[in-house]
Amino acid sequence: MTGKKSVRRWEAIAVVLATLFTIFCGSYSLAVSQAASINNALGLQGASVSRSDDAAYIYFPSAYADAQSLETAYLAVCEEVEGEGIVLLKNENGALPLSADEKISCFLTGSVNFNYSASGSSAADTSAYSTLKDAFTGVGLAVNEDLWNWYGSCGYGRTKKGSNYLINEAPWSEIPENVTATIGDYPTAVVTLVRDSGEGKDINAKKSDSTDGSYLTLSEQEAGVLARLTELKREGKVHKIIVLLNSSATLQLDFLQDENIEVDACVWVGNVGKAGIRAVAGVLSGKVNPSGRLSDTFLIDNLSGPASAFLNLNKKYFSQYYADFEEEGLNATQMYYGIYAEGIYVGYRYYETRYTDYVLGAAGAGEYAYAKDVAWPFGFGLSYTDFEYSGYQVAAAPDGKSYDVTVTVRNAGSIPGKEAVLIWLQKPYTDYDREKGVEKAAVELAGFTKTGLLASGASETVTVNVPRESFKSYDAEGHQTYIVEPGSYLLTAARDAHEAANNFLAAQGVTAAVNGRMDADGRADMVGTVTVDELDLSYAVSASTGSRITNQLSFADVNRYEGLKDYSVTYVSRNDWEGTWPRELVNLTIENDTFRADIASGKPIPDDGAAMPVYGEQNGRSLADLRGLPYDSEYWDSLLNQMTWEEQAYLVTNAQFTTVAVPSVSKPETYEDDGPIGVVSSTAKLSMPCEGIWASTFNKDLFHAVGGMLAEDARASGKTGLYASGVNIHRTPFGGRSAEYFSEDPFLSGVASMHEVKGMQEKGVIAHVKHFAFNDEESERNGICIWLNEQEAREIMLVPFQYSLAADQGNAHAVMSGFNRVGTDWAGANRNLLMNILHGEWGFDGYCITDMASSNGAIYMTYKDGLPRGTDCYLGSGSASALDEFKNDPSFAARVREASHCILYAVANYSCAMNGLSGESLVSTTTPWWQTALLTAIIVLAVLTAGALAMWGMSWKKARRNASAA
Amino acid sequence: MERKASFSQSRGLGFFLALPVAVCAVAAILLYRKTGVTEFSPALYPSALWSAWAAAALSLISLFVNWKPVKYLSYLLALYSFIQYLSSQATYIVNVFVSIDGTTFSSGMIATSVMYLLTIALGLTAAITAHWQPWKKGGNGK
Repeated sequence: MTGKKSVRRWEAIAVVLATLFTIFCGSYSLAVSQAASINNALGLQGASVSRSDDAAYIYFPSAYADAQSLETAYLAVCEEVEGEGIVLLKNENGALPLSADEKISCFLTGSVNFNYSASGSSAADTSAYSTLKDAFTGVGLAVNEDLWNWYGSCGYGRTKKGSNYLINEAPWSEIPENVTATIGDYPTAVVTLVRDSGEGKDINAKKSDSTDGSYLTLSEQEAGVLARLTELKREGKVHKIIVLLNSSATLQLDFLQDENIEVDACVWVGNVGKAGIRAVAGVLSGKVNPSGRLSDTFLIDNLSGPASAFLNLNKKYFSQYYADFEEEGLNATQMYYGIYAEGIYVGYRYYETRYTDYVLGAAGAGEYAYAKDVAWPFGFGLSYTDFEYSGYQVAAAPDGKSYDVTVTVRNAGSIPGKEAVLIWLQKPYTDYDREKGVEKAAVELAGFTKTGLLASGASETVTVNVPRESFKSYDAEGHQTYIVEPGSYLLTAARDAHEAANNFLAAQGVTAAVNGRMDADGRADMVGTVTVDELDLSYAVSASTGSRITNQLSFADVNRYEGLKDYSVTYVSRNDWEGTWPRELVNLTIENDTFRADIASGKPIPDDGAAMPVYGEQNGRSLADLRGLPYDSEYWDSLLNQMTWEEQAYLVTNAQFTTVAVPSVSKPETYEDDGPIGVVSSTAKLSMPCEGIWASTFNKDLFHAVGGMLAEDARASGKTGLYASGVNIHRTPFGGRSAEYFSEDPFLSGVASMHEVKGMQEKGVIAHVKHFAFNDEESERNGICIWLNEQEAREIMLVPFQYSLAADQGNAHAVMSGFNRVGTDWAGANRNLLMNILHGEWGFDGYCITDMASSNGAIYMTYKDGLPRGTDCYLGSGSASALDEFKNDPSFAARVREASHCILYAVANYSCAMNGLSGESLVSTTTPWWQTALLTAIIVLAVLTAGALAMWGMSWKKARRNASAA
Repeated sequence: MERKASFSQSRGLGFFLALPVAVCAVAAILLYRKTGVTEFSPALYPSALWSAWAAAALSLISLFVNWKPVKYLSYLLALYSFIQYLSSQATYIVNVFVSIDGTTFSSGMIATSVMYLLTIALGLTAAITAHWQPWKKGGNGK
């Protein structure tokens, strides 16, 4: 080899090695900063733990010995929930149940591409789930193969354009003649209307390919298929048309009023999870008698509610932006806002109250056509049998704090079935309310239960306990707390919210015959009255903690927040529906130093006067020793004193799908995962139906069973906690995460979640209830300012959280804050919300974790803002040095210690991660293999690079010498 | 004219790339400073900045010090700077790839990345071709 060639060779080698060295060196810090994500993706544990096999230390045993028995049990619960949650909305001409010899033609691409789950934190691998055809053939029904195969290969189907959902349905005209010719042999038409939804984006109310641009409206192609089928039915070629609504969101059902479309039966099936599709076939074939009741109102016009009014006015976008955001230099996490002008009138609370006031001719009620808004009311649902109610009674319960509502339910039909018994409340709407702006809905769900399976002719007497606390309303202006006003409180048992409204009207002597505005007679005999003689302020004190309850959220109300004193919002009021209806957008600007300071990140750390905590003591305590001790036990201080600052900093900043091990106190790692309707990393790829379907069962035992199965699957998949349940409100039909939230009704959402949480936590899987709070929409969720009044906050949006988290209710041990702001403050950085309400009023004893701080909104979800104001840990990749700049601030350090306390207390007492840990168990952190491999590679590359550089230099010298010699 | 011809004939191709390398590096720095702070990335990374400045400076120095290792060092610093830049944008990049929020790469980020990549590619080319004179018979002038 010549000298020049040698020089070039060593030059190339040195450069390649130096390049690799630079890449590895540069990447190392990046990899370490994202260690939590990498470990999670690789399924690595960051600690080694010595565990005992002694049964005494198995605090949370699993009920399943092997994966197969677990999967079998899970799928059985999944199918049962779907079977009881499916809502039969319409059933004419004896269309359902199908007879055994019926032959089915499945229409629309949704039939072959059914919706089982949702995207984002409810994503599931559904590729191997059973199809609708499998389900039908499984119950012995024949399916038109030609049509099925054509839809499977036609090239049409749901898709997205940018972030907008498209229906992209195949038009009838494209179905080949040889395929349409087979329909006559399979004359039962099952038409599946499917809609997707998921995290990160609300359902688009415009820019879809439907007839009005809304993704929840039918497209021309879908309506065309229904119309053509109607023609064929009229020609006798199709016997019946059955529509399946396969969506967690409520489709707009105006098409059912189209004279060109004749649907015989309509069934809401939601998203069905892994085994729910068997229940769909079960209900259609009559093997299951439907008993589900709507957990949301199905509408003729999805934009008709007051919560959608601003959406409508704002070119069908939820979020507005501050007009001067550019001049003010606001970034994308500060510039958006949304106003909840509807007050408490969410969902049926609006429709039934407006109807009631219209019937009664109340001042300001205006003209109102209920039937133009509502297709089927909240609570509605048909059965294949008939139930009769009798013996209705309301009596004070022995505890003196509640009322027992008793009714006897008789199966008057010929088919066994279950009946959900729903109890509704009407509070008096008084002059005081009108004066002080306290709103009262004409109908509120106040209790429910479900009968057992009643044979034909059988009866069951059920009693639903309604706490007197249900009578309370939040009076933000007058008493600035909860009040129970004097007056008549009416309780009725009714099959749906509209029937309840009519019962209440009947109790006031109103009949359809006399009052031309009433659409059906109610039953006065199904109404009981409780009279309250004087103002009751006993609910101004928290039953959970004894702390006084008063206004905490004035800062989130445009009308009360000092930073927006030049603006006002007119909240919808039944005192004057017409006058208070949102008819113009409220365009806010930032003209005020208070506002500027409040919306900025990096606020000063509050000085709590705390002393600097103690670190690194050797007290010989172990986390397992403290199981069962009260939160304020002195032993906790002793244990926390053992931790180092670095351990606490790492614990609270690095909680991405884990809480890290703490060797000094022998705390094991915990492992968490999404999400509300199934474990995203489920080993067996299991998932449940959408939460709305669970809610529609109105079956508390099933809520509990679902929680238990989610927990068992989590544990089988190596997890000890779940980011569930999702309890935000279906405020409008367009919320992106409808699959992960229960209902438009806060009471139903709360009770369902409370039982789910209990079922989950019994198994040692900590529920992380989300998204606290007012994260009822997805669009611009990173920092959007939500403005609402305190009555809506306390009577609607916070209710499900209270049921889930309060120590004397669901007692969930973790809560996840939202990406949104409450007023100007990020939801994870507001003491009133996270400390005063969550801990102070509800007695919450767990920890508060942020939403995904690793991939969202890092700029405003700062440690400096969150940790001192109630956030306990960050769902992100942190480090032991992440908080060093605040290390010497006693108040900050004390909050970090308290956050550590919250986490340790929850894990010690409620997590199956403690299984096998005794006081003698040792926990040590381990370096993951990839980190060792990276370091090794860097060292090897450094040596090789140095060697190659030396060789390059020597060969160059040698070449020069040779050249000189020559 | 003759002096110009003599000058160009005494330098390799890499010499003429040194200035574009410095210009691209400075452009990357300016773009990063302008667009690097986003809702996902609260602060600029000083390491991304100083290494890019150093890369640009070394590239300019190589105009006067015709020594290959200087150019290679410039290239390696540009590479290191780019990795630091990507680290600073990790949250943003993760958000795009998890595809939940519908976030896409901004034009600022794309432009910054392009400038960084140009700096790296030109820097490496400049180093490799520091003594290569394709306009001379035999190519390698020295």
